[in-house]
Amino acid sequence: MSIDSALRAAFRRFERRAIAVAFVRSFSIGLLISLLAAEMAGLAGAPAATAAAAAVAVAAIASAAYAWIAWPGMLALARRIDERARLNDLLVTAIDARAGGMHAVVRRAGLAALAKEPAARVYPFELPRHWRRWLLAAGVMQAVALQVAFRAPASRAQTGPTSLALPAATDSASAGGNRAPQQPRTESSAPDVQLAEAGSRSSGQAQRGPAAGADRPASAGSAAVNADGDRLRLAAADANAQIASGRVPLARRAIVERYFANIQSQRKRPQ
Amino acid sequence: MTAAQSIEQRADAFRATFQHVTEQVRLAFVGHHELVEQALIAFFCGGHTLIEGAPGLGKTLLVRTIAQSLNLTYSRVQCTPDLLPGDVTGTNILADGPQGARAFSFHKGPIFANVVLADEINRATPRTQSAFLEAMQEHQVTVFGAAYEITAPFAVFATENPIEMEGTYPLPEAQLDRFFFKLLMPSPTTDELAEIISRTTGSISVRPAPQADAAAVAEMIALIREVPVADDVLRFALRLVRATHPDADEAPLRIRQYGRYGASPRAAQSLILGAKAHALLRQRYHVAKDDVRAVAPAALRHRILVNFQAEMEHVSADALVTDVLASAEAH
Repeated sequence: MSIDSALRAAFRRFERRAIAVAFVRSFSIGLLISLLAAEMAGLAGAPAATAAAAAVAVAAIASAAYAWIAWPGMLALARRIDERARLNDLLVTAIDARAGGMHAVVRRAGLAALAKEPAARVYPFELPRHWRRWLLAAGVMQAVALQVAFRAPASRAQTGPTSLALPAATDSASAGGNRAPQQPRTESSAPDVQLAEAGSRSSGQAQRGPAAGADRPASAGSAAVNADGDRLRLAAADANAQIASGRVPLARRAIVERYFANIQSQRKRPQ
Repeated sequence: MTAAQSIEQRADAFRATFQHVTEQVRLAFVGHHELVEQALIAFFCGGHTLIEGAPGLGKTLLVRTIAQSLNLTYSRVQCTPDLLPGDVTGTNILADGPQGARAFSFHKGPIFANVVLADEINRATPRTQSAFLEAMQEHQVTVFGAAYEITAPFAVFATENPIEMEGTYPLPEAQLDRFFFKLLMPSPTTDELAEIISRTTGSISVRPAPQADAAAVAEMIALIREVPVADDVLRFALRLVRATHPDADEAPLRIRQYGRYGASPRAAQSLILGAKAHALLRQRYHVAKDDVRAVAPAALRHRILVNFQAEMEHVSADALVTDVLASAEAH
């Protein structure tokens, strides 16, 4: 093996380390940005798991591309090792093809120095140089994203439909859709009156439930279910009132819709 | 023995000879270790040295001791305003030939020595100063159309007295540029002064012993030139030289403000050769930027010409060299 190829082989260990460090550092920043983007996508309604997986994949691909672009040449490697190991320009001289005379001695000294020097000391896994700035930028982006997502719209036109797409009521415990909450089918002790009063308390434009029906006697279990259903309808009425008033931004609507959908699915499960 | 081992042996011999010569010089010359090292570096690089210092500091003693330690021929030229060029180079003299016929024969002047001391060179007229020019550059003297070669090794050590400026002729830029290094000899410290007095007022006199000869000196000069320089380091030295020019992009602010003219390519040659010798002395077989930085003040201070504003504000060339070094680091 000639000295030149031996020198290249000795540098390869540092080359691999440099690329690994570049990948990890860029991945840490890329993942931060990607997760922020995934969060914004999630707020807009995209599935969380898919968004997170996409974020990791994008960060990994971008980091690999950056590591490829930032592939250090031999001269850059030599400069870095000379600086970190305090070799006083030994390696930049060793790889300089134009040097003559004592060049063989210099290259041998360069090989010996490379064999002794640990790659981890030359390319340690340190935080990115301006990691505080990146963190601050991420925090600012997060704050801006949340502000945009939860900002009250300037006009009703920005909210879309003026009421929530709530799950259709299938039993007494389900919330109403784009219609007035239905009267519970189980007997309740003046729930309709309470709902109507609660609805009127929440907002002037609250959709009211049907007029209170006749008093009917109710069992203890059905009374509890009825109470839950009443609370649900009250919450739905309140939400619809807020939407109608233009106070619910898009992101919150999505959250509220998912909330009611979860409630609906829980109610459907056999107890 | 492999080539690498041969080089290492030659380098060891270089360092040993250098060390022995330095020790012999120090027997007679007290203090100024860095100045002694740089004077010897300039000599082994085949360059000429300009030494500036007040009277009585031992400039003449230093040069004579160097010549004695190296077992080389030595001559001294005391420069005065009435010194003629022929007094330096030699001249043709009409003399009787072997058959009684008269003919001109060339009698060599004091310039024909291995080590020449031009004492107080700024007291000689510009015409006489220029007599040194051809010898310093070409290592030969031309008299009446005939060229006479000066035997190698050849080095001129010139001295200047910065105190007495009356009746002196500042060296022209062309001649200043031919000096490899300009060294400043400061006044000795109290301890050094005590040592000087102790040595020079006692009954014991020390004569340096020869440590080398002309052949060994030639080998050392050749070895220095074999030290490799990386492109990175070379460009660093060139940036230094470029930064001394007020109109260069690399020039720092104070060079633009106080500089009149910058260093020539000879400065780059002095930087690189001096750095090579410096590297060998530091047990290295390659030139580092540190070596260039170490010899930069000596190589550049006499090549940066300052303007009138600098003289009025007492801004020295050394201060500008410091700025140049700082700006080269920043790039």
